[in-house]
Amino acid sequence: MDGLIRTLSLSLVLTAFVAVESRGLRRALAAYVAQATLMVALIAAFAARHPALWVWAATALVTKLGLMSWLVARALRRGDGREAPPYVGRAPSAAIVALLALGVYHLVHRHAGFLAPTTLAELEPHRTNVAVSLTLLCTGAWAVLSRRDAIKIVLGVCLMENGAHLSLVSLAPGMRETVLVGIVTDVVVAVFLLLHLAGGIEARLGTRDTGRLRALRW
Amino acid sequence: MTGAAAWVPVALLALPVVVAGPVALSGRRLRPWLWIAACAAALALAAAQAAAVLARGPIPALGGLRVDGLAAVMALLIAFLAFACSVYAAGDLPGAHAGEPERRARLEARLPAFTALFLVLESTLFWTVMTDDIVLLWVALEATTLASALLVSFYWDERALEAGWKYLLLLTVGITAAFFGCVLLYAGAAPHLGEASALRISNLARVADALPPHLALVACLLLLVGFGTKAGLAPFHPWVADAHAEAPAVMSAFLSGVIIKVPFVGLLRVWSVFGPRQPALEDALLALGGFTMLAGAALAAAQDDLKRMHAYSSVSQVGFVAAAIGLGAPFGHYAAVFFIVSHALAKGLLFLVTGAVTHAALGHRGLAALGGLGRGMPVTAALAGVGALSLAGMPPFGGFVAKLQVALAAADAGAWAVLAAAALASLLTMAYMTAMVQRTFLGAPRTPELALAPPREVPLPMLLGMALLAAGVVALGLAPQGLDGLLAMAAGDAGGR
Repeated sequence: MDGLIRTLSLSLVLTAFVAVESRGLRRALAAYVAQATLMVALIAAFAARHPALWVWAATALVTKLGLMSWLVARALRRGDGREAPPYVGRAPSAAIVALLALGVYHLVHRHAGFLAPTTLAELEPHRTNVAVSLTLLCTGAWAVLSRRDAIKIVLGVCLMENGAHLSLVSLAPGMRETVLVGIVTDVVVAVFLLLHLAGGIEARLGTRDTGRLRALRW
Repeated sequence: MTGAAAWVPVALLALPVVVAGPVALSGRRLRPWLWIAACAAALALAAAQAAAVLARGPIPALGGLRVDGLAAVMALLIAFLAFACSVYAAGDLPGAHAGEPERRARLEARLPAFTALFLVLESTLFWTVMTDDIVLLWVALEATTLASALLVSFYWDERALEAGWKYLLLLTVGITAAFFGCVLLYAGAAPHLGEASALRISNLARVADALPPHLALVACLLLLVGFGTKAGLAPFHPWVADAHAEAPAVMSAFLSGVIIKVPFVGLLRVWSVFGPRQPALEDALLALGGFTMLAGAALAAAQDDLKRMHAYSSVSQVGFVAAAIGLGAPFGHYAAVFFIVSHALAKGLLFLVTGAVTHAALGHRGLAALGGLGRGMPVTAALAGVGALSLAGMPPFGGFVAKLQVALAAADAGAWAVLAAAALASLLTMAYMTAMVQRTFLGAPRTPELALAPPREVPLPMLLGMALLAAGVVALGLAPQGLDGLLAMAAGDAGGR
C-alpha cells in the first residue's frame, strides 16, 4: 500500500508540471482533471488507514473532479484555447518548475519534522504526502506569479488548493467533515468568482491577458 | 448562561443572510428600507449580545460559536458600521460614478445583488469574530473575501475589474498561508485535547505549553502572513489602495472600517496565548507594525486621489494595531482593540465623506481638481473635519485617545523605536489630513466645471449615515470610559479566556 501511495503522490507532481507548462489550456485542464482523479484515488488509499477519509475522497470527487473541472471547462468554451504569453518563456519556466518541485520536495521530506511538526506527519507515507502537498502548493504559486492568462492563473490557484487539501490527509485526518465541507465550499466559490471576473475582463478588454490590466498602479 | 442568550449569536449570524433574499427581490423603493431595517435589527441584536456578555460573561452558542468580550465589541462595531452604511447608501447608490443613463440603468440592475451580498458579507464578518473553531476561523475569513469580491468590482468597468481581480487573487493566495497555520495549530493540539476539543480556540491556552515551540512559531508566522495580507499590513498591502479606490463608497467604508480589522481578532487570540511564550512573535509584530505605520503614511502623503490617500492611510493605521498587539497584554491589547474601534469609525466616516464629495463634484476625487467645496457643502465639510482631526490624533476625538493609549503602552513596554515610528507616522498623518481638508473644502475650485456649477450638499440619508459615524468618533473621544468594561474584557479575553 505504501508503494501505491508513493506512486500516486509523485504522479500528482507530474500532473502539476504538465498543467503549469502546457501552453494549450485544454491540455492543462486535462492535466488538472488527471490530478484530481489521482487525488481522489490517493485519499481513498489513505482511507484504508483512516476510514473517516472516505468522506474526504467523496468530497474531492464532487468538488475537484466535478465542480472545479466543470467550471474551468465552461470558462474555456468562451474563448481562445491558447494561453496568453506568460512572463517567463517555456524553457526557463519548465526548468524553474522542475527545480522548484525537486527542491521543495526534498527540503520538506528531509525536514518534515520542522515544517509540519506532528507525530503523524513524520511517519511514512504521510511524510511523502506532506512533501508532495507543499510541492503542489509551490508549483501552483509559480503558475499564479508567472502567468498572465487569467484561466491559467485560476488553474494555479486550483493546484495550490489541491496541495492544501492534500496536506490535511497527513496533518488532520480526524478533522470533522463539516469543517472540511466549509473549506472546499470556500475553494469552489473562490474559483467560480475568479472565473466570473476573468470573464468580465475578457468581455471588457477582449483578452484574458491580465498583464493588460494596467489602469491602476500597484 | 441562559438558553435565550445562547440563541442571540445564532440569530445575529442568521439574520442578514435570511433577509438578503427578500431584500434582493424587493422593489426599488422598498429595498433601501428593508436593508436599513435588517441592519438596524442586527445592531439591536449585537447591542443585546454585548450587554449580556458584559453582565454574565462569555456566551457559548451553537455551531462552534462563542461570544466573549472581544467578539462582542467587534460584532457591535460591524453592526454599527453596516447600519450607518445602509442609511448612507439610501441616498448614494449607484453613486455619481454612474454617469450616462445607460450605464446608470445597468448599475441599478446590479443593485439588488449588491445589497444582498452586503448583508451576506455582514454575516460572514459576524461569523469570523464569533467562531471558536480555529479552522472555521480561516473558512469564515475567506468567506468575507468571497462575499466582498463582487462588491469591490460593482462598477464592472476596467478599473473595477482590475481591482476586484487583484483583491480576490491576492487575498485567496495570501490566506492559504493562514490555512496551514490554523491546521498546524489544530494538528499540534489534537493529540493532547482530542479531535473535537483541539479545534476550539478557547482551548489553545490549555495546550500551549505542551506544543513543540517551533510548531507554535511556524504556525503563528504562517498566520501572520495570511491574516496580515487580509489586514493590509506592509509588505502584503498591494491590494488595499486599488480595492478601496474602485469600490462604491459604502464598500470602501466597510472595507477600511471592519474587513481589514477582523483578521486582528485571530491574531489577538493567538498572540495572547503564544506571544508571552515566544518573545520573537511579539517582536515580529512590533517590527511589522512599525514598518507598516511609516510605509502607509508615506504612501498616503504622496497621493492625489482622495480614496487612495485614505486607503494608504488605513495601511498606516493598521500598523498601529499590529504594533499594539505586539506590545502584549493587557495594556497593548486594550490599546489595539480601542484603536480598531476608533479607526473604524473615523475612516468609515472619511470614506463616506469622499463618496459625498464624488457624488456632489461630478465624479471628481483628485485633490488637484477639487477645492472650495465647503461653501456649498458645509455639513459634509464639518464632518470631514471631525474624521480628519480624529485620524490625526487630535483631542477631543476618539483618535486622540487611541493614539495616546498606543504611545503609553509602547512607553510602558520600553518599545522606544515603536514610539518613534508612531510619532513620525502621526505627524505625517496630521500633514496629509490637513492638506486633504484644505484642498478639498477650502479655497476656490480648481476645475472650471466645479466653479461654474458649485457642488451642493448631498441628500439627507447620506448626511445621516456620516453623522452617525461622526457621533461615534466624538463620543469615543469625550467618553472613552463608556466602552471600558467591554474593552477591558476584550483585551483580557483575547486568547487566554
